[in-house]
Amino acid sequence: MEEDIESTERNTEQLEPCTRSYPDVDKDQPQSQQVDGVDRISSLPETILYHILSFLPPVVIEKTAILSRKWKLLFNKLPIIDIDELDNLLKFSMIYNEEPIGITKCREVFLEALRLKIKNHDMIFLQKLRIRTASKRDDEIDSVITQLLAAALTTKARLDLQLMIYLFSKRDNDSYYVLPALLFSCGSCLVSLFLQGCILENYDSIDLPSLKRLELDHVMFSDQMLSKFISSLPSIDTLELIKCDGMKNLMLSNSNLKFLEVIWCRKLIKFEMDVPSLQTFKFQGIDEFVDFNFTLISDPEVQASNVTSCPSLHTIHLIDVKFERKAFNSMISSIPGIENMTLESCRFTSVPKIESAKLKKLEVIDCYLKNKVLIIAPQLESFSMECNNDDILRPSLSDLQFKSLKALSLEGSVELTDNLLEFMISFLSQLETLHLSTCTGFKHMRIISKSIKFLVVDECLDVEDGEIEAPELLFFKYVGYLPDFSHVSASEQLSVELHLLDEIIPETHLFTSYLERLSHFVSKFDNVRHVIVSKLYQNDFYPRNYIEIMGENITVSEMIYLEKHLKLKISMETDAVLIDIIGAIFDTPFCPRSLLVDMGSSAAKLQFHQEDLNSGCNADDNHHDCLKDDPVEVSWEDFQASYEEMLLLNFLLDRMEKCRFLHSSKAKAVNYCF
Amino acid sequence: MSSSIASSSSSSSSSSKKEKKISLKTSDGEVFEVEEPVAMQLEIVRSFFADNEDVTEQTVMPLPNVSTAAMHGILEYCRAHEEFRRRMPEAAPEEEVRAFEAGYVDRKSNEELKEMILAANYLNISKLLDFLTGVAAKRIENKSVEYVRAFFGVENDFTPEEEANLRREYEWAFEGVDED
Repeated sequence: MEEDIESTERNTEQLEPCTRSYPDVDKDQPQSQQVDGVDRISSLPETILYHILSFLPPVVIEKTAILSRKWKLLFNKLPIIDIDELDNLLKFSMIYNEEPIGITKCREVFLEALRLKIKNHDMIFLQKLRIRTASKRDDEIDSVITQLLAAALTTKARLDLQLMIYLFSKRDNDSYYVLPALLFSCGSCLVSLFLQGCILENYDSIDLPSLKRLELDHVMFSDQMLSKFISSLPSIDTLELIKCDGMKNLMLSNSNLKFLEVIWCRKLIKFEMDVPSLQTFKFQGIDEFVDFNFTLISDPEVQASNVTSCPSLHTIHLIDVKFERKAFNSMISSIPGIENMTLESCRFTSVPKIESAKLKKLEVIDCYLKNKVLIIAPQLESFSMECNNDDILRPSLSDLQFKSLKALSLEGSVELTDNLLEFMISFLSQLETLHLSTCTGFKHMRIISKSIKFLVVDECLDVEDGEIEAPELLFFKYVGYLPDFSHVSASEQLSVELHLLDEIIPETHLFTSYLERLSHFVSKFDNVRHVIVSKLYQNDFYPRNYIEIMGENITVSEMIYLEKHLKLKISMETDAVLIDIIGAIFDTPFCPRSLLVDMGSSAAKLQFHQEDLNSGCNADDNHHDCLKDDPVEVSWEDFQASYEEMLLLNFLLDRMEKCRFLHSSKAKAVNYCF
Repeated sequence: MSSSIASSSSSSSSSSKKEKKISLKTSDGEVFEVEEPVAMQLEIVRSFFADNEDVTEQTVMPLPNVSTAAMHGILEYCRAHEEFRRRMPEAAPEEEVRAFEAGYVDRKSNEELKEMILAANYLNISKLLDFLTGVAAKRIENKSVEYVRAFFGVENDFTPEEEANLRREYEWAFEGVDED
């Protein structure tokens, strides 16, 4: 920051004439210059106040009414009403330790909050109303909610309504809140509706011309009711049906609907759609695999001519669906416009044939494939396959001959050989992204490609060595055991992440050679933009400790390990960030007992050592936090108290108990220290 | 301390590059030379340069509603984020971003925070505004009425009776308040 300040000061001088050319500006000094004792409500605009309040739980928002008259007015004009009994319950159960009082009190508060809103709130500005109950519904709660709904639906703004009713029992119809008819005849204010634990009845008139988004979660309705409801919504583009167990046959007819999700609707047995605008369809079957007669159009066998009933459909995501015989193949042929397809945990009783002229992206995740999968897709750009379950048969990769492929992702014990990998990379001449995760069988990672830009090799534990020759490579991430790379040539803009898994190194001399290998490996990436090296402990997904080596500024030229004393020699080309290096060393997985950092001519030598050398810090222990926990002393030769050094000192003092200065003539520094 | 690491690393690497700079002048007349990708995070600057064809590199854009102090804070944030973005175009390193943001805001007083909210609002940096307003919300959550009044600089204009009535009405909301 210091440099910035200096440079801006310098520029101010140079640009002096310019600053004079706006003399009016200084008169318009904002009130933000006045620091204390000002009523900032005039300077913080209402929109910002709403913004701040929107982060707060309703209980706290309530409180702001008491600040001043203006805030009381403001409070009653808030565009958001969010009354959440569950939040209150959590809060009250903390305050009143005895639970029964908590629940009763909570219900009281909840009802009182609803009544206050009905009485005081100016609904004209209302944009969002969210109500969530947490106690068993009864007539009193119903009537208050219905009153608030009636009041809210007079808003002049576009309303997003979320109503979540706590379901005491899913099977008992009495647990559900019966939605009042007025909700469905309120006209154009309602644009988004989310309902949970409600019942849709047969309403005579449905007038929701602006409703765009409808989500029904645990909502009861009859098949006819939903069918009628959806077809009378002219603007709806998103429909989500989640765990609506009452539904047996889904018959949808709507000319505007674009996104449809049907998730875990248990009783659903038949599916008919006439939705010409549908673009995206997501369907999740139930946990267990059952025969599910899935037909996108009423019956593809019979109505083979009617293939264009979803002409705009380009994205389809199917989860837990079992396809009988040719059902899948017929489905594919009925959606010729499909571009993105995801198949997750699907079962097929015969060989699925994915034949599509337009298909660009295909994901196959944990699918139970009988033999193999036939893919005929000349336009395919992205293919990914994930097999996390051992029972799953893996299709042969030699079938994947798509010249146009730009992205390939393989995950989960996919068997690759060195030759197959090399063949794939040379064959796929357009490939930009390659992601190999937990693939087995290849030892030599030979990546020679003119097109590849992103390369991820994640826990492919058979890898021993490799080479990279990819002039376009921008990102390389490697997770696994320390490999030997013979040659790396990539773009100068390359960013590298190396996450090394813990290897068992029993002997000291082996550990030394490990460090030498590491140093050798890291040196292959000398000329790249940025390198992060981290050490991963198994069963620990996130890197906890890392040595960060900034590519532009620093190269690690030597790493020597001698009897648990680490010497790190760092040569610095430019003004390097000392703190980054030292900080990284503190997090080093090797946990040296003493550490000498030699930063060449540009800075002093720093030596760290732990006071208690016998404090149970041996190589077998899980010792990564050792340096942080134990008292550490630093000796600092030739301290100059420069800005950089002061920053570093500040940083060190945060972590250590003592700082000893050797040959340090600056009394200032010593004062700073104590 | 992690924040000082992030800020010093971002300034050192940005100063080592020759890139196009944009001059911004704060309310108290100080001119900041800001690297173009950082300045373009300020929506008001971006649209100023996009909408006015006759502006050149030499144009100094006046920002009459932003003080120098606020500008320093805003640039620190934007530079750090530009650095994150530059390093990881695909996805920001979340842990690092969080560590930076936490340290960044810890050092700000309530007054500084409000000043920066106003500046972020004026400069139209939605990401920073979201972040700062979220922080402001955290600071007043579970605080006494007096603290929140002081925070927003609100003068209590209720009569004692009115306030007592209101406190009774919202009684339940005042239980379990943290110490200021």
